[in-house]
Amino acid sequence: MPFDVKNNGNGSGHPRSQIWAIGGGKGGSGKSLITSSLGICLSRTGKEVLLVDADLGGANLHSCLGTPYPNVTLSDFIRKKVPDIKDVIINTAIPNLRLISGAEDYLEVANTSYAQKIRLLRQLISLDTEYILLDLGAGTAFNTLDFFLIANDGIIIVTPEPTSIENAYRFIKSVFFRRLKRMINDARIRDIIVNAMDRKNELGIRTPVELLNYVESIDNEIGQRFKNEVLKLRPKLIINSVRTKGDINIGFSIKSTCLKYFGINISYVGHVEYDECVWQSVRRRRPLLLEYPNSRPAKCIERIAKNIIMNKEIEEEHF
Amino acid sequence: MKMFRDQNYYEILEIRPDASYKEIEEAYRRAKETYSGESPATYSLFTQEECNEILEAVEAAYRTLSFSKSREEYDRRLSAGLDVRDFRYYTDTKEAIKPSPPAAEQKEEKVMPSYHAVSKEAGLHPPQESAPHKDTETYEGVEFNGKMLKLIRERKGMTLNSIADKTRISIIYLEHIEGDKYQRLPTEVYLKNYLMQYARAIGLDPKRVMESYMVFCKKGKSE
Ligand SMILES: Nc1ncnc2c1ncn2[C@@H]1O[C@H](COP(=O)(O)OP(=O)(O)OP(=O)(O)O)[C@@H](O)[C@H]1O
Ligand SMILES: [Mg+2]
Repeated sequence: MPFDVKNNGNGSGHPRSQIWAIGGGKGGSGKSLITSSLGICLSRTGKEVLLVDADLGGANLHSCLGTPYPNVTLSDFIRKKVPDIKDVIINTAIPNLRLISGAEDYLEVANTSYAQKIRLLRQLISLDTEYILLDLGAGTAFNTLDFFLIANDGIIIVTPEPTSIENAYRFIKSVFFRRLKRMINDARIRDIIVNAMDRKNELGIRTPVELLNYVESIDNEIGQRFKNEVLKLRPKLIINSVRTKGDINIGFSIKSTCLKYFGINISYVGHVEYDECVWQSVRRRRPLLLEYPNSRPAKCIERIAKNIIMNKEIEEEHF
Repeated sequence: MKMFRDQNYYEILEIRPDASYKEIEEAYRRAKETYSGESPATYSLFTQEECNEILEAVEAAYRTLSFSKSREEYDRRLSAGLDVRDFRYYTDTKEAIKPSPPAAEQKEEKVMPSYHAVSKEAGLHPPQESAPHKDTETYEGVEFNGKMLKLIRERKGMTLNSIADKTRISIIYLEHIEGDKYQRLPTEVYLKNYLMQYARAIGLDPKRVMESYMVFCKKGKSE
């Protein structure tokens, strides 16, 4: 079963390759920009990196890398036009960095079946590459959630706007319940949860943390198991398009709120400043890190890559 | 993983039990920012009432952990497994820690410290015995090193944060002043100015505090 959970960030992964999944709800928050830039940072450390445009339906990762629209894409693999995932990998102009471009035919591919998904994941994790970065695209489709959960590191990109934050919470909530749901094939557990959700007003259950505590009070062992699952969720947070100190602080507030509400301990790995040079490089279809290597957003992303590798959080800055 | 209503003061502030004073200040500021109703990070998950409840707990946590004596007592109860939910922090010298203080003597000391006790805690020689129970504001004969200043401030129920607000001196410098970290203090001109502002903020004679502190500072730096 490829979704088995090991003792890493979000789920299992191949021992040889680290999978990072970049998601977080809202469209246009900078997922593709940050995925491609993190990929470039990693490739510069001499590691083999594979970027996968898993934004089934809204693929544009190739643009962020300045790669022409490829003639093989993930959809060729999903529709079994080619048997082997290796057949859809293309090289980029950047050493050590390769790409599987996204599927363009939305309807067919966005509804990937469970079996297809498993085939894709099996083949991905069997690849001999040190890092696999998945650009997940917007939304909370099961595809997206499962890719996020299977990754070693799940990274959520949020911009400092109410709508973006709301979407991120919706995403985290979906991840939370998707994760618990996998344990609910036990009829007894399902009964407890269903009962709790039915009576949640009567029982005064408001937050996921309260739900977990209620389950624990009914059945200590199951409650513990749930809590352990939730504790394993340690998504990473990046705030993108930051313009003020207050914007940076929103990251800390999100972290605190998630801890108190979901019981999920997010790690805030950094922020990326807003800068005109980002869209200028996008417009020229040139990678930000090559076009403006000394820009502030580029430096921010380098720091984030370092933090993720070292498993560190943003330095609490004093001001 | 506990509901915020059941969290202890460290959990409410999301800090480790050995958090430094500065970490407490930062956590407090951050929590205020998060739950005061302005933050876009909070409104969609917590209602206004819940935010207020959290804020109340944050406030109590901050008060309790900001003062060394009440923190010690709180820690003692935590580690003894006692119920700490209605732990009453004290906000000024008259308000003692509520139930079952360890010893009557200590309780009295918390309520109204004698010069003697304060000086001993600050590692100073006791002043002339003439002063003990008179006007506490003059602190006659007391030498003001950082430790002493901190004690006096805490006994007046003031947080470092409120001093920083009043004086606009960075909390880091204030902490260094109170911590007698002479090497880390700014140059003399600034320091003197800071000391006088600080003294004024906690109701002490600015000139006396400054002069007394500078003696410690010079001695400390030359050592
Ligand atoms: N830090 C930034 N500063 C300025 N502009 C930015 C920044 N980050 C992103 N942008 C702008 O936002 C646009 C969207 O970014 P990107 O395509 O990476 O988002 P996305 O999350 O992948 O979107 P989608 O959900 O549609 O795939 C970029 O074209 C860029 O112009
Ligand atoms: Mg995208």
